[in-house]
Amino acid sequence: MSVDDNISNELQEISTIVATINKTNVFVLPDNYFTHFQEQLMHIVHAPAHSTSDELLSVAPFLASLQKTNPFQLPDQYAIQIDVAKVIETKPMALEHPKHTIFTFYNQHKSILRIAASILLLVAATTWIYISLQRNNANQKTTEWSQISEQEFNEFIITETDDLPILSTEKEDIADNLFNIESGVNTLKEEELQFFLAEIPEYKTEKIN
Amino acid sequence: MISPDDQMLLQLFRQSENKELAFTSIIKKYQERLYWHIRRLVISHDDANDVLQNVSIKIWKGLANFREDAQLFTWLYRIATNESLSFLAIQKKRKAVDFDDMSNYLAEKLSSEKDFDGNKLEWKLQLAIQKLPEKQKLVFQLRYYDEMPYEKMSRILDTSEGALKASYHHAAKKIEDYILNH
Repeated sequence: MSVDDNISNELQEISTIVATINKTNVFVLPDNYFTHFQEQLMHIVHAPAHSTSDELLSVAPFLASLQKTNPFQLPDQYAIQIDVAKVIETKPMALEHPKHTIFTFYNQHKSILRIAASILLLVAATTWIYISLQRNNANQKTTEWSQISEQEFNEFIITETDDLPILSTEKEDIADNLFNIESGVNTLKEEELQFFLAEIPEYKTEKIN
Repeated sequence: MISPDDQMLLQLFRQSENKELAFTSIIKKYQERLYWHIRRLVISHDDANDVLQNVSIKIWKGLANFREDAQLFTWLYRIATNESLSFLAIQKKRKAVDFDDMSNYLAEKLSSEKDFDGNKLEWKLQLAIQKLPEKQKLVFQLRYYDEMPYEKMSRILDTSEGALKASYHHAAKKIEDYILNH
């Protein structure tokens, strides 16, 4: 199957309407255009590089005949007023200014700086995620504690603290604790002590002197 | 690979005494195909003539640097396509128009052609082509009129064969729609 057949079959499959249209060239071309075109083209290729005055003379002879007088005026001694030395001095500085060292450094170490920035960004992101998770945990625990009733809390203290190890059996520590209790009792008022003892069943009937 | 005829012409072009002869032979060989490719894009003969002149001058200046790993024909079509699209882009800029206005502008140009008859199917086809987006227009014209294989077209337009097939399919469907509704 030739290429042409392939193309017409392809179009037939896409659109039978378009495929049936005659491929007539609707555009009109001037007679002997291509013969003239070659001549025209070679004329352009061969055309010598005209001077600007010759070019103007061929295009507009009248304009070319006019004298090139400058109609604009310049202030007196304008050229002398320009301090050439100053211009020369300041120009290189002005040119050097944009070459800022930070840009030079960046351009020279572009890839390293990019990697460093990526690592920094990764570390910062990981830290932020860790801190956020910690905060969430703490908040969750606080919420849980606040929801526990007093009864549940007391039950927890009774059941969970029985097995707690005795932190110290040192004589000094025990003595200190006893001293604290004694001094606490001594500072109690009589009424407060009676009230406390009345709560204990075996002392209910006895009187304290 | 480059065809033997073209290879010989290029060898001639590199010999300074035969440079001009080789160039005119190349232009003679391809000028009609290039002209019609350009004409279908820019519509008017005067514009096509200007673009073809620019294309030929670019060929004259660039032929010395042409690498023979590509086909001469592909290279010439590429220049002609780019030059035509640049020409249209300049026109678009000058007239400050968008795509719809540009396709209307080209349709107007078409209707001012000698022998234009909007009721005839072949002119309707031309009007429908002007309504297509630039890429689809190019693909349709290269396939329909120049009967170009997708592989060659792919090298001219720098587009994959699959994408070209899809563009041609869409273009043909749009043309069908236009013809049925106008």
